[in-house]
Amino acid sequence: MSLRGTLGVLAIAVFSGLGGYVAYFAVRHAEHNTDLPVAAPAVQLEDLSGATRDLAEWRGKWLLVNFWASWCPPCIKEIPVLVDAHQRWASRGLQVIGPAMDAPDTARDMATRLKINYPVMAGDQAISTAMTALGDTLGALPFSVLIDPQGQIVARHYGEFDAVKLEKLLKAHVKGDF
Amino acid sequence: MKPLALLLPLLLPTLALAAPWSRMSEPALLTVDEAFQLEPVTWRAGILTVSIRVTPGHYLYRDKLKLASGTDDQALTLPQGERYDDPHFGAVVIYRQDLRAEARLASAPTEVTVHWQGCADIGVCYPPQQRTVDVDVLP
Repeated sequence: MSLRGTLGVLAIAVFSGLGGYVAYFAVRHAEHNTDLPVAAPAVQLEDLSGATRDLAEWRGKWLLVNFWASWCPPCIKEIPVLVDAHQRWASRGLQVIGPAMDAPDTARDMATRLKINYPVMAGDQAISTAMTALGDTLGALPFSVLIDPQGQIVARHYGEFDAVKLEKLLKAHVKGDF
Repeated sequence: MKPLALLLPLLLPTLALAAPWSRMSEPALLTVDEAFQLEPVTWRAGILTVSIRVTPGHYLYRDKLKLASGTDDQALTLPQGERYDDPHFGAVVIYRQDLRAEARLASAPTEVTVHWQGCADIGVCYPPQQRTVDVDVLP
């Protein structure tokens, strides 16, 4: 192979490797948004009254789906931030929902204790399946997904939101819609 | 020497581009099986040994570690661990290093079920895990 050909192959190899490196970091870090926007799949979950709730029922609103659990300290820690955001951003079309990887009674007790002001769903396998459908690749909590009023997933986030981080996300997406 | 000299201009910008990413302070998120690896469970002379590898930056909760043989829970002898004051769950004991626990069992069970649960310092937690594994009887 000529020197030119060798250099060409090397260049392709180096830039392919670099691309893989970037993709690895994008997928395996808190922000997992390389494939977005993408249409949200049909997801149905049971709320604490046993009623089946469909994500599509909130079409037309910005929907922040926050997966949490009673056994997950960072999940519990971020809930006041979500409660506050749900209240303050409601007039701008934000709806928060909180599927919990817990038994309904456990989720209900925790929701009462934490004064959660948005719909809470509960379950085990159903919640895990919903997480996977919405783009989770780790099974770790908390995991949040922001869906736009047209039903497109525009952001995914692993780990705890603090007030600044959540505000930044909402300003980047929700505010731009008004 | 000449090919190397020609390659350098190509490689240097590439390395320069990669450097900021390699400095990212945010550690990678792992799957639960990458974060915690259950080693083969062994039994020798009345002692059953359970070992779990804990990846740096992750920890296991002591009170979530359980061992069952059939339908019976087995008492585990666990290392001391590290006290951790959780703002929501109070004082708990965690393990940040590889863990070795033992249980006294007069005879070797065919299989056991190991339960554990842990989190990552990055701020995520993994659901409670349960694995039923064969027991290796050592001579």
